[in-house]
Amino acid sequence: MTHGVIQQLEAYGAYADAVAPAISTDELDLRSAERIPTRTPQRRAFPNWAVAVGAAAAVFILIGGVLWLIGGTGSDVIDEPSPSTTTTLSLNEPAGTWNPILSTTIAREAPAAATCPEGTNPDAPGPIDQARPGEGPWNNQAAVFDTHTGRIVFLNEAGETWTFDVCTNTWHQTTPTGVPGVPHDGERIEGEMVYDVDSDRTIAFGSDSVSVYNANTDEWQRRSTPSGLDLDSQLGAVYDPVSGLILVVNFDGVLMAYDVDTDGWARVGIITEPREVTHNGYTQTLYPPFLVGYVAEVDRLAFLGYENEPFQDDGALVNPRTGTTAPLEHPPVGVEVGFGRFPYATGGDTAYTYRSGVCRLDPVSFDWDCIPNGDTGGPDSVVYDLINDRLVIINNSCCNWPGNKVEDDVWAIDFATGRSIELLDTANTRTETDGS
Amino acid sequence: MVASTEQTTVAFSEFFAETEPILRHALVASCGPEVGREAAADAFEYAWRHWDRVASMEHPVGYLFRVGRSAAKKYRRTPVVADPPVDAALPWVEPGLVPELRRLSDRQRTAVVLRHSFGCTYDEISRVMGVSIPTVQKHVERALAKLRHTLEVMQ
Repeated sequence: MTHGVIQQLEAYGAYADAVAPAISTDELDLRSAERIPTRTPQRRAFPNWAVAVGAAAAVFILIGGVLWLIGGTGSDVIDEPSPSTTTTLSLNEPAGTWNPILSTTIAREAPAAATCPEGTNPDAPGPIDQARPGEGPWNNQAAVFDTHTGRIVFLNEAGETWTFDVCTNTWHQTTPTGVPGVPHDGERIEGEMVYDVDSDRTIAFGSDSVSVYNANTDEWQRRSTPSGLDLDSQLGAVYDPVSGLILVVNFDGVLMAYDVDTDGWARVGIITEPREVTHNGYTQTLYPPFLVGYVAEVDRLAFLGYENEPFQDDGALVNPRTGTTAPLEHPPVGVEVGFGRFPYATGGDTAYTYRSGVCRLDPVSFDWDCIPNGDTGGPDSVVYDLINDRLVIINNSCCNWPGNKVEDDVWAIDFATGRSIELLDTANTRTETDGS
Repeated sequence: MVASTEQTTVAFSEFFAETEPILRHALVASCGPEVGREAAADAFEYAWRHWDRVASMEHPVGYLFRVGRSAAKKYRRTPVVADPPVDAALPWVEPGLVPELRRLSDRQRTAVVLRHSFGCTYDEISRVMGVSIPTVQKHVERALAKLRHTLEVMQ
């Protein structure tokens, strides 16, 4: 049977509609009902369309979601008390101004950085038969480099905490005290983690929650979330070594500062707000750019915008002390943004990201220096290994399309040489389920 | 002013009825039928839980498409469709098509499947993908060129 491409695509549409028929609201009800017990109580349940509104409201009250529904969001559910009631920062800074709080350092002396033990070879691949975080879904994983322990802290959607030893290239699953607020049964959409160097803590931001991890004691602690602070999707977060604070930019383009020691938040200013633009008679929304790293060489925050042609070159450097913005002179060639979360990291003197290749922002020319996809594939996480001074790529899972090989390996890339090293080979030969 | 529960429910219900086809089709085009459908359901649940915010967006479908793509990742290793409806009763598909779709870039595949498998307009595709109409046209044209080169040469 011979058909033209258009006819083949039309037939595929009929097939896909048969395999993936319309979703009914009843179906969503069932899915939601199954998930309610595992969700954090502040969530509201999906309504049962057959139930009277009053009954639905009663359900909301039972799960605590009514607080959100009537606008009184309050604070998130807290498993453990905040470590301090002394808040030196305030979220109620006036809009339209740039809070100078980042010009003053409150950073403590950072604990000593780890080094590799004598006799270890960081370039030697780890044992292939080792346990690794591959058993659960890897969606929305996050990873940071803990300078003090010298290990990568890795959190996956299953809520498992793992560390990766960059000296021996081995995974280790920890058994922490406490539970991170994210990820949680699919609740987390696009959270982030960042390591606070001077406080020696890892902070995980996720759906309406803030969690703090102490790798020295293997302990997670939940923190309160200020009302009005949207920590959900499109979040970007970095550590600011000058102020000693964690900087967070949310989907509304607001830069905020977080002091993990006092659990205090401050609104710093607005990077840019969503705006409408018109090109060739077509109007579209340009969302605020993503915060992808801190460029220590020039003391600037690096941002990337969406790939909205012809606006894909709207990367910028922002002075965190003054709020002044300088658009990147050259388009970030090779860096595709948009289509959701993408990995990024800060390390050494500049920022790194990944989309169609692993890219480093040259802190002198401000060009994105990209290494195209090769053996390393497309990672879900990139982390800068400060011990070995190189970028580590974790997971290498590829796209969502059925039939593609799922991998769970770890690589390192040295931008000075362009050389990639496989730190841990995949042990996984499974393929994604083929929908055909 | 805070919307009542009933107002919220009605507004979401209308939004769901209006946008379900395009969001499901877009995620099916991007992630395949089974994962795409699950991802679309996840995106709608997300929309409900964050309704105040989603309702205020200029292009909520484009935003939910990104939410769905993110959610789809969790199904890569654990497909959740219990009984995949794989049987002879399904519409026939050219055996070589799916592997070739797989080889397209995400954007090319999404654009060409939305356009020629589901009959979406360029405007609808541009809104859900968050790119301009000329960009959509470019993705569709390039995808068709690749498919024609591989599939029609095979025939």
